[in-house]
Amino acid sequence: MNKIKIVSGKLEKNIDSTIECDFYLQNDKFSVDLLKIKIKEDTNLELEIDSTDKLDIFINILEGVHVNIFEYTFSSHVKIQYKYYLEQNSNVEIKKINNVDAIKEYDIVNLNGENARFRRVLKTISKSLEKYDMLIYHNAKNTSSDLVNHGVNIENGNLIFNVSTFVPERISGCYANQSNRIINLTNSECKISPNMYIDCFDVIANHSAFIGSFSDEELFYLQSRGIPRNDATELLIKGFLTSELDESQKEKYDEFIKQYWG
Amino acid sequence: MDTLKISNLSVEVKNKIILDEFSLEIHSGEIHAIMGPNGTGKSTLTKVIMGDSSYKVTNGTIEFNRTELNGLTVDERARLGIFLGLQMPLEIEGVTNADFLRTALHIKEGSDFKLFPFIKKMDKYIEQLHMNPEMIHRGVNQGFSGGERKKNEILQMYLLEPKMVLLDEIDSGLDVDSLKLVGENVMEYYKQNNPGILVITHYQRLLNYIKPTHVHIMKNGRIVKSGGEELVKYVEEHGYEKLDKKEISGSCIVKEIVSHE
Repeated sequence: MNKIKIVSGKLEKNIDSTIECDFYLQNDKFSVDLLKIKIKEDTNLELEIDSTDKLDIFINILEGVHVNIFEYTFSSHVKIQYKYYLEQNSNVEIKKINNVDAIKEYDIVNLNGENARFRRVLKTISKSLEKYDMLIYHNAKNTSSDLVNHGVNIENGNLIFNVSTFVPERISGCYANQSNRIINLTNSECKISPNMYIDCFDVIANHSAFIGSFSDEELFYLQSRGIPRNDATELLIKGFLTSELDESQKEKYDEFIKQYWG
Repeated sequence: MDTLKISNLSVEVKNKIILDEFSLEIHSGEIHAIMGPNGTGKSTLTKVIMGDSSYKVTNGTIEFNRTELNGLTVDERARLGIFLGLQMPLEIEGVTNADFLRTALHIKEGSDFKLFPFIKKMDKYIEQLHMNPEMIHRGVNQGFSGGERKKNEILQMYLLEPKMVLLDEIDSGLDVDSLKLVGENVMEYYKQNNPGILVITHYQRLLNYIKPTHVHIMKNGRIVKSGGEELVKYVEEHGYEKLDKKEISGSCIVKEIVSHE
């Protein structure tokens, strides 16, 4: 698998000809480092951001290209901005795990070509401020966006998902979905703003937002098989955080999950 | 001999009485079937035995092998050997069947738990229940049909080896073949392990496979009539209404249930 890693402001990469990658290190402390990735052919990519304070990432997916991205962000405090540009008939699926002390993340998704499809699954364990602002622009007809944002809020966590999807007039045939869920295990406030700005009639759009804990029915079912409530809750947390991840990602994430739950 | 004893149990939800001075005793080797019109408290009974906190027990006791269950949590009751097969088992996202069962077995067996025998046993029962082996790696009941969910309940029963089995409308949503398979597997478990079984059902068809030793008709939160298999046939032919108005004739033995003490 292709691999790109940014560690403490340094680029490490092991990529083939399907991907172009440039890294622009800014030496003054007021500027932001920039990582540019161009996906030229169908491929898989592992992207790891480690010990980095500020970073801009531009990802351009060329016409007709399908890519799976497995992403990990491990840092103490990080400000990160993503800009995705999807051309015609391109298809991106991202599975992203964040394990950070605090994060402010901006995601801008530009679905520029017809039939472009973007899907991202985000999993995070929030221990202090984690704020995600996601903007999805359907700029072409028959484009599709699907965002799944799952977080567990613990300790001094304050998790915020602001997700806005835009479908302008005359951009017909689009599919837009947002599924946001926060399991809040603290008394701190968490927030989800699932916004859909849709000016076109011919669109299928769904959004969901849930902040709370696991249902009594779920816990009853697990407990009725002899599993104590605390173990049942842990099982549900692990399931929630690892659902939809690939086996290798699950293994990697399990290491972090174990820091907090068994 | 394992005994589940329910004495004068009254249960309320939002100030509405669901179970009213309900009494019943089930021993190992007995299969009790409870039938009755909708809304008479049959499913509530199984959930209350299991300890569902949405119901308020206002009077009476539930004992299992002389241990009072009223103060015990759901998992403590389960670990005593009580199992509830639900009418509509929940989907649980992300928790695979394998993880779920492994965790449950690990807690039940403690240090005696061995992974290989567990996998071997599971494979055997999956085959016996005609389940797709891949289901075990999917989320609990995730994307399962009604029939697959019921088979999954029976799989859990086999693996957990309970002493007292409560089956709440395990026949609902099953096609003819699945009903036969589920019924036969419950009986297979019964023959192997001799548990006490309480079956809640609306229809005779399940009882063609799970042969009850005792049949009870429940109305307004209590048992109004008890008997044998002939009571099932009578209900199937005449419905519940006539039970109130007419004594059943012929070989049917009907007795008012006051208590089983």
